[in-house]
Amino acid sequence: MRSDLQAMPFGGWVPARSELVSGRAPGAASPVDDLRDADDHALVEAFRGGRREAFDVIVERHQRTVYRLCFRFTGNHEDAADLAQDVFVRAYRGLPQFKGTSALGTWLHRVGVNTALNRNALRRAPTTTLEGTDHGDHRQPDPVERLDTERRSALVRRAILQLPPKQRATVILRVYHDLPYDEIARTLGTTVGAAKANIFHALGKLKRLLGS
Amino acid sequence: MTSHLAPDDFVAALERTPDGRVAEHLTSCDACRTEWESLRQGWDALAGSDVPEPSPLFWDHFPSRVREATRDVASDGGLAWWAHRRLLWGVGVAALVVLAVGGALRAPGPASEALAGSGGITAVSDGVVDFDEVADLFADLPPDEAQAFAPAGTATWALVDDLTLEERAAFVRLVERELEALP
Repeated sequence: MRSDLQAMPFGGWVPARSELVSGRAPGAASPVDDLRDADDHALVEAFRGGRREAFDVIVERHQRTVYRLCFRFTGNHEDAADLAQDVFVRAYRGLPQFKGTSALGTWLHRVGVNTALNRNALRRAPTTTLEGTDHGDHRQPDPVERLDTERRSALVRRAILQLPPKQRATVILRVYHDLPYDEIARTLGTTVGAAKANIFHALGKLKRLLGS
Repeated sequence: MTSHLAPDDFVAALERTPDGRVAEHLTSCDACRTEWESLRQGWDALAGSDVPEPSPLFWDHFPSRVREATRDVASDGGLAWWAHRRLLWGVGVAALVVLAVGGALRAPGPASEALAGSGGITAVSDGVVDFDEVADLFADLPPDEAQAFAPAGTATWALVDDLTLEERAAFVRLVERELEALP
């Protein structure tokens, strides 16, 4: 099935939403079509070779991961979106120097954490509300249970925001992005032992913040 | 509360089921077992917290937002040359000062003759620093910004007058190098 079209229930085809957003005529070739199936290494090489659109594909591929990382640091959608944009601008500047010794996603994590730690938004009071901005799929059919889960999530997110920056960064990278401790240590410019100590002390502090 | 296990042991045990020395200690030490259970609860609370999903339209438009933000950014780490306004302003002002210096040096006198052999002064007296070039640099600036950087009349002349001839020659060479570096 063509990805630029979507089927209508009554029959027929209309342009897919991505086509409408892009402004292209249905079926028109996109300048990035040949890059969408490329792996991250090939995208980096294409970008270095002068193909600006390769970076667009990198953004599309990694935007969700970067956004979630940024949301963990900021606690609200607007700041997370701004921070994610800054992360990709920094990545755009630094990509020519990317050596490829780590995966591109890991490198973006590093850029994201450093950008977040340097950003003033970290020093603002957390602005999460108990009412989320969730537009996604709700898998829990019971609305009371779903509301309870969302409230607990919001409380946890707010507590994370009150951790010292490096403890917060360690928790986010380990618990939510599954980075190994040696990579966390490299990202934060510290040791593996210090990274593990960050987790230990962060959990102790969270226990006090969240209560029993 | 005294813990007999080190923080490293607790963290390692959180990542996987405790085994060996750690498991044995947790079965025999009430304090460490209490600490472990508390840390486990915190870890589970963290893992269960999700990020609210933004609107699908956000994902559709975010790449174009990044594209716009990187439009004036050169991918080698610096600004694109047409966006390097501060450099253009500085060079433009310096070029106007050079013109003033060149005008002062063209006046006949023993000092200017003594320095006529230096490359910088010869370049100025040959008109390499063209006024049209300076005008082009300012042409791209909005009128109010150009006014803010225009030489302040007598203040500029006073600045030039304070330079010795050697200093003026060095200054001209510096400005010429900056102008040559422009694309």
